[in-house]
Amino acid sequence: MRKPWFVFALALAVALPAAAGGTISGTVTLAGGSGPLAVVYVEKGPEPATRAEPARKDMDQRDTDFQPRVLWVRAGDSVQFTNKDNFYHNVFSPTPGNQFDLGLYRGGVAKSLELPRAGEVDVYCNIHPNMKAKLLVVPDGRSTQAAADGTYSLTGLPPGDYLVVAWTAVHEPVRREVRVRAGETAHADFSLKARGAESAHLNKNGEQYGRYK
Amino acid sequence: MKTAAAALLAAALLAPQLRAEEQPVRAGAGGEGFGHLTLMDDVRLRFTGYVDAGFFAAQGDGTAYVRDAGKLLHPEYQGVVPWVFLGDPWGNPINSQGDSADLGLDRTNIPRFDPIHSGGHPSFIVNMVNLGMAASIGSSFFFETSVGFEPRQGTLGSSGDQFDVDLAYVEWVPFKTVDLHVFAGKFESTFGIEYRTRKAPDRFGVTPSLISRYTVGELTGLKVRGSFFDQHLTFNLAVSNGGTFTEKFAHFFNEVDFNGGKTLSGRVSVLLPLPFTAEIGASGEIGAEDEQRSDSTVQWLGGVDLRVSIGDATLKAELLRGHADGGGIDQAASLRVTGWYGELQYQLLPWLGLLGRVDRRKADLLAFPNLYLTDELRYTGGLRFDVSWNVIAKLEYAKLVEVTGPEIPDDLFTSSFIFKF
Repeated sequence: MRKPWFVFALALAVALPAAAGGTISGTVTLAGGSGPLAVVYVEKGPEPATRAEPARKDMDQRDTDFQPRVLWVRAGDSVQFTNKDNFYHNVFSPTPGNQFDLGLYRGGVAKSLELPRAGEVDVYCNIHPNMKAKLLVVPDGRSTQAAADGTYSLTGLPPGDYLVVAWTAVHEPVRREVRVRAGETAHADFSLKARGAESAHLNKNGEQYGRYK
Repeated sequence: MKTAAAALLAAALLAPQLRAEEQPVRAGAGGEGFGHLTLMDDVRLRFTGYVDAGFFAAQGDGTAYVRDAGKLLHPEYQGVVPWVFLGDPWGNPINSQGDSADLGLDRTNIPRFDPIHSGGHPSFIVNMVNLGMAASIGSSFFFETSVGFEPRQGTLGSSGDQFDVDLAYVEWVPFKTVDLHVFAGKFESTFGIEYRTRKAPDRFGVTPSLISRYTVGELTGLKVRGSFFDQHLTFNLAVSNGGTFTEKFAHFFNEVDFNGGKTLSGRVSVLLPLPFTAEIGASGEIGAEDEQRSDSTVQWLGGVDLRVSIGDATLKAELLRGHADGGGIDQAASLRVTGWYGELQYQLLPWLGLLGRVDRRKADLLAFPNLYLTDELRYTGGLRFDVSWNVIAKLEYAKLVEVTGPEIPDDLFTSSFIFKF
C-alpha cells in the first residue's frame, strides 16, 4: 500500500514546480530617472495554461482630453469611451491592424471598442486634433505594471523561451529574450530611452485637419 | 398619413439614441462606418467658424507691379494696347484669401477698389471672420454653408466691408458601402489640391501660391466625388456655371452665369501603394469664358499635382497651364498662363512647423485696355505655432523676383493669428 503513495508523492514533487512555473523579474529604468510606470509583458513564449475572460476598461473624453491618456488592456478586452463633455467628440485610430472609427457622438453617450490584436494603438478625435491617447494591447494576461521603484515580476510562467517587452507611452519599448526554467527566477532588467517628439497626426481621412470635399 | 409621418419622425429622432446601443466596434475590422463614409453621425446641427487677424509690412508702396510708361520696355505693344503693366498685382498677398498689400492706382490715377490699400505702411488687419453651419439629415444627407466677412475701408459712400457666401451645398451619399458623394449648390473646387487648405485655419502657412487664383474658386452647379480601392483612386467631376478662377483684375468667373456654356471640370488622383503617403493627380477644366456672353469663347486649364507625406514632412507641388480666348462682343479678357509651386512643410515639434515654398507664374493677361505681362518668381519661408488646437499663429516672409522686367520693391512680411471653433 505504501508504494502508490510514494509514487504519487514523487510525481507531485516533480509536477508542482512545473505547474507553479518560473518567474521573470527585474527592474525597469527610465531615461531621465522618472516617468510613467512601465508595463512589462510577454510578447512571445509558450502558451499560457489559462486565459482570463475578456474584461472592460474605460477611457473617457473629458475637458477635451482623453482620460486616462494611456491605458493597457489584453487582446480580446474592450475599452469603453464615454463622452463626459457637453459637446461632441469622435474617437478613431489610424493604427494599421487596429484602425477603428467610433464616429461622432454627443455628451453622455458611451461607445465600446473591442481590441482583438496586440500592439500599440494611437487614439485621436477627428474634430479636436489636440486629443491624443495611447492604448497598449498586450497579447494575454502575462503582463504587469512595474512598481514605483521600477521593479516587476511575472510569475507562473511555463518553462521555455520568452520575448519580454518593457513599454511606456513616452519611451522606446525594449525587448529581451529570457529563458525560464521551472521553479526558478530569471532576471531581465530594462533601460528605456525617451522617444522623440511625437508626430503631428492626420485626421481620420489621412488628411491634415481641415477641409477635403 | 399623419400617424405614419409622426412615426417616421419619431424613428428619425430616436435613431441616434438607438445607435448608441449598438454592438462594440471591433478595431481593425474596417468596413462600414469607418473613415470617409462617416458624415456627421448623430450630429444634427453644428456651427463652426474662425477669426483670422494679422499684421503685415510690405516693401515699397505695397504694390507688386509697375506701369511700363511709354512702353519703353515693350515697344512691340505701341499702338496695340494703351497700357502695359509689369509684375504681378496679386504677387504679394497678405492673407489666406490672397488680398494684395496694395493695388495702386488705375491708369487714370483714380483709386480703384482696393480692399487693403496699405500704401506700403505696416498695418494690423482683421483678415476674415468666418461663420459656418453644417447639418445632417439622417446618415445620407449633409448641408453646409460658410460665410466670410472682411472688414474693410469704405470709399465714396461704399461701406467697403465685404461678405461672401463661399459655400452653400447639399451633399448626398447614396450608398452605404460605396464612397460616392453627390454635391449640389456652391461647393469646393475640383482642381488641384490647394483648395483643400484655402481657408486660413487649414493652410499651413499664411498666403496662397501664385497660381491659387486659378484653382481654388468655388463652383456653383453639380459635383460627383468618388473614391475606390480603399481610397487609392479618387475622382472629382463637376459641371458648373464657371471655372475655378478667382483672378480679380479681370474676372474669369461668374456667380450667376452670363452665357449658356457650362464649365466641365474634374480631377483624378491615385494614392500610390507605398509605405508613406504619395498622391498624384491630374486636373482639367474647360468651358465658355466667364464675364462674357458668347458660348464659343473658351477658357481652359490643365494641371498635375503631387503630395508626399513622410513622417512629419509634407511636400506639395502643382503645375498648370491655362488659357482664355478673350475678345468677342464684350471684349473679354484673354489669358495665357503657366505656373507652378513646390511647398515643403515640416512639423519640427508638435507646436512648431516650418514652411518653405517656391512658386512661379508666367502670364500675359489682356483686360483691354490693360495688358499685364508677368514673369514672377517668389520664395517664401514661414513659421507656424500651434498654440492649441484652436489657436494658431503663423509668420511668413516672401521674397519676390521679377524674372523679366524691372525689379520691384515688393517683398513682404505677414502674419496671421487664428482662433477657430
